[in-house]
Amino acid sequence: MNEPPATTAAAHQAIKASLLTALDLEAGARAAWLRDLERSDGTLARDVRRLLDAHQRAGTFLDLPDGDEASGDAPLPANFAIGPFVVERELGRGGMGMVYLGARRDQGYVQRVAIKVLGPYVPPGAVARLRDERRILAALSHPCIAHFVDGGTTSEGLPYLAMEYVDGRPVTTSCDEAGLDVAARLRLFVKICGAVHFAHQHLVVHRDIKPSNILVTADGTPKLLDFGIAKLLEAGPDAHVATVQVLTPHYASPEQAGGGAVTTATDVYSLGMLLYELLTGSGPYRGVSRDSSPLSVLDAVRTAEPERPSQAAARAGRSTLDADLDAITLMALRKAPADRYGSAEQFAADLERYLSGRPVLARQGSTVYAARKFVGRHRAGVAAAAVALASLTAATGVSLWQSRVADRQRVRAEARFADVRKLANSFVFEFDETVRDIPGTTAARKLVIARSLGYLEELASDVHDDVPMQRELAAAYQRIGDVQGNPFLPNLGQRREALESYRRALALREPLGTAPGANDADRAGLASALSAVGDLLWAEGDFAGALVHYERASRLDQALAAAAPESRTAAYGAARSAYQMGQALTKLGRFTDARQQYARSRAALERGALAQDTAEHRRFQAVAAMKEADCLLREGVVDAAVARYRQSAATLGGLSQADPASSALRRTYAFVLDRVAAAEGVAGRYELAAPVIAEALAAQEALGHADQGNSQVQGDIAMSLSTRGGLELLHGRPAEAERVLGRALAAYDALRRTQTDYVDLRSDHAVAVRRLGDACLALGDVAGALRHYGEARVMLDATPRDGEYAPERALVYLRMSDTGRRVPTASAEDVQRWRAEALDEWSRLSAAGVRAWMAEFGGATRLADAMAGASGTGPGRATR
Amino acid sequence: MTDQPSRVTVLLREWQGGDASAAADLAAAVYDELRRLAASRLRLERGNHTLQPTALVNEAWLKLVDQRAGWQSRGHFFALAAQAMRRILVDHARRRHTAKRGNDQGTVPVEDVLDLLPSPLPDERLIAVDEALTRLAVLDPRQAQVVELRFFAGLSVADVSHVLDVSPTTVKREWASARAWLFDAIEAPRE
Repeated sequence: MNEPPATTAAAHQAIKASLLTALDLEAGARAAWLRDLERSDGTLARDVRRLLDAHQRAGTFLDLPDGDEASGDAPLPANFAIGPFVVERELGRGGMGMVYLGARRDQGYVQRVAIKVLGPYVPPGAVARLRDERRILAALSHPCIAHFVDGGTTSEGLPYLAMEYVDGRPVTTSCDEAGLDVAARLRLFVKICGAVHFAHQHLVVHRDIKPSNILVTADGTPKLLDFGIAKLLEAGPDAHVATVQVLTPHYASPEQAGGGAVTTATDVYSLGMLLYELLTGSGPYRGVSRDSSPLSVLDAVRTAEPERPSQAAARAGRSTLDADLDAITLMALRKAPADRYGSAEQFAADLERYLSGRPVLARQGSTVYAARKFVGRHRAGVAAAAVALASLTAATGVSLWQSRVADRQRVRAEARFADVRKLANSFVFEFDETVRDIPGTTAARKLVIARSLGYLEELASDVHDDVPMQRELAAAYQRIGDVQGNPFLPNLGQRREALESYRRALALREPLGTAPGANDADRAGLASALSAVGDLLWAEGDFAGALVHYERASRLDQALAAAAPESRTAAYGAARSAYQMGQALTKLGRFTDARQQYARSRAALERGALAQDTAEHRRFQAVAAMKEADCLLREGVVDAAVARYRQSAATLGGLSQADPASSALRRTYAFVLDRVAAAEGVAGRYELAAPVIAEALAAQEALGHADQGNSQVQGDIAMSLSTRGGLELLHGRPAEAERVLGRALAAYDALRRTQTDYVDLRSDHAVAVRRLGDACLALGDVAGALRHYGEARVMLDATPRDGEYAPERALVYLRMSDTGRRVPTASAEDVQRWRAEALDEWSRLSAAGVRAWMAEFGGATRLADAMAGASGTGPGRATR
Repeated sequence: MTDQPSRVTVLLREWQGGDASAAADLAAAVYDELRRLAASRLRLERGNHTLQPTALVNEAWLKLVDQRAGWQSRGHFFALAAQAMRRILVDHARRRHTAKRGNDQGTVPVEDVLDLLPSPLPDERLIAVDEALTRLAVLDPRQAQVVELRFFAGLSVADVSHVLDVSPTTVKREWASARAWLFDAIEAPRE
């Protein structure tokens, strides 16, 4: 009875086609149609009826709350306001957001606005770009441009723009309804060109000109909507493709379709599309309709030749168009931006020549044509030639004018910069450098720098080509990023904001550092900005992305150091970027490659003209040595690792004693103590490890007490507690281990409540949880152990698969399958799956991974052997 | 910002170039990124169920792929991402559902932050849709993909038409008929 409607693809297609036919019919016609079908194919008719019934009963089944077909009549919340505007009703919605009608009451006067809320999906940086753009948009005051009223972010953090509310009809509909003839349409179009040209003079490109963005009001005035908005939706200053994806492909220009640069010529093309549609009622590419697939539309835009408007109009039974109009329209639609009219104004001027019967520029290639025109007109022939000549020079005029704008902008910006420059410098640099190393100042630094940021952003939006100012801004953005979330300095844990600041710094540095003949300072600046972005990506867990940035920085730094062998700064830079590459390689599980980079880093410091005589260079060398030791430990060379750690600790201890006010030094020293203790533990020397870890913890707790806002120190404390728990386990004191690990977990829980999640924190946390599981196991609480292993697994599953933590994950799965067998509530199926996971991880470990396993879990060697024996396979690439 | 395209961009190119082995790596990378993004969103928005699959998918696209990669890549990427979103949503619905069944109190232990993912349908129904959709994919792969993109990745009709490179009208017709088919498949008990 309830057989599925179809069991073969062919039958399914037949039913689907009939269902769709039936759905297109009115109720009466449908019943008749079904009766016919019944007679010819009873089975098919039954299936179609059944699906029609399902279609009717389905109601809102699978409907999307935010879909573009949503009815939009959902009631608005009471007193719904966006910024200063009270929302009256919804005007529309689309993939990119919502549009509302809003009103602001001001001194008895009601201002109506259309509010565009971008989102739910907003490209990164849109909010910042909105801030940059709003003054420029506000200056676009033209009778044919819906002016920008206000912009900001909603209470949910989505950017919004409020524009003059225009009560009108889309230009194509409006022309048809008003029955405008060709000349009237052209006059209206000339006005639109004037508005676009005006915006171009203010250096704003529309990028999305189409009929639905041009409304004509009741008095016949065209109004352009959404100027400058497409730019806000870009993924970044250089990403034009991201713009295309929000556009209707039908109105995209060839350069937009091909991912090329968007310029004023793009708007000229779109104006040509608009004119074409106004004259012919259709688009210029034959075979392309509303219902064509997007890629075929874009393909036509890039390659197909437009049909002559006169032909298209004739086919559609519209007014006859002449060859001049063909030439004008097609000139705007040329594929190469340089072949189109040089500006919207030139486009309009040619149409005006046409309207007054003078020769049009678009046909000037033909002298015969021009002569015929001249003879035919008998008047003002010479004047016409002069006008044409004047138009030809207009392009030059525009660029001269633009450079005058740039001059004016610089003068204005420089005056203001002079005012705030001292302030910004003193706050962002002098003040900050004075207090940076004093414990307890992280939050205060953020406050001060955030204030300065406001000034700097004002400056940034005004200045486009002032090189010294761009350098200072880049440095300031980088400093702000440091305070927000530099993972290697005291910071506030605001990584997202930090990345945004660093990216701004990089965007400013990139053109300076890559320009031909760039000076060393600019190249070093670029390397530093690359490193900063790399650091953030690293902290976000994007190690491959970080490595890409570090490699570029390293190339720049190496070249700088080679060019200036006596320079300490250059040596430091080379050391830093090699070090960073080491870090990224470590995370990717490439321990041997990483160790080589750390060695290169130390070598660069030694080469750098007696560099080791400054405290900072010695600190750096000690840290690089510590990292080298980390790799050695991962490679299973335990004794060499211990020696390197001890050497590093001796240096850092001395430095910290010499500069007791530096919390950064004390933190680093405590950190290396933790590593010393861990390595001694792996070597089986608990009595040597215990006092060291105690000293590390005491130092970290003192630091944490002094600077409660510093999340880094809290992370260190959690890690040292975890290390200590591990040591107690190795020493056979599970109860003590359980107590200490409990404290470690509390610390991690607190951190993960307040901190943006990142991979190190998560995996360190997982290690602590796994150790607690080990403690439970040693105390005989098998169920508790399994629970903890399960928690650790969930955290580790979210780390990169073949990276640094692969051995830990292998261990956790192994423990799960071992303990799972002893816990009655765990299903045999689960145990089987965990075991398979463990084996899979195990077989994927590299030789270094296996040595790491052996080193870190010296006691686990037995387990590893058992594993290898049980599965009958050793690790594929292990060499033992 | 960098000269080198991202790893995912490279994989996308290899896949489009016919290297089938890139697909698995690509799917894994997209799946991981979506899980990561979903988890971080959930952590930030705990208690506020505004998680939007479409926003996640778009964010993953911006994050993983070089923005000059072009339209073709975008389509391929979104198709993969929709599959990944479906897996994430359904896996967690299934987990919650199983946990609920074996638990008298009706509360579910949260093992993974993604267990807090707001489900677009009640878990049991979501699982049924998933199973029915798998059957539909055998009969009509494109129709099933329309549902995957619309329902699981939350893409608009226009976006789906971009991804599959078919007209918006085709998308709407596939969607309407798939909806009826799935509703029938779920409502009418089999066997």
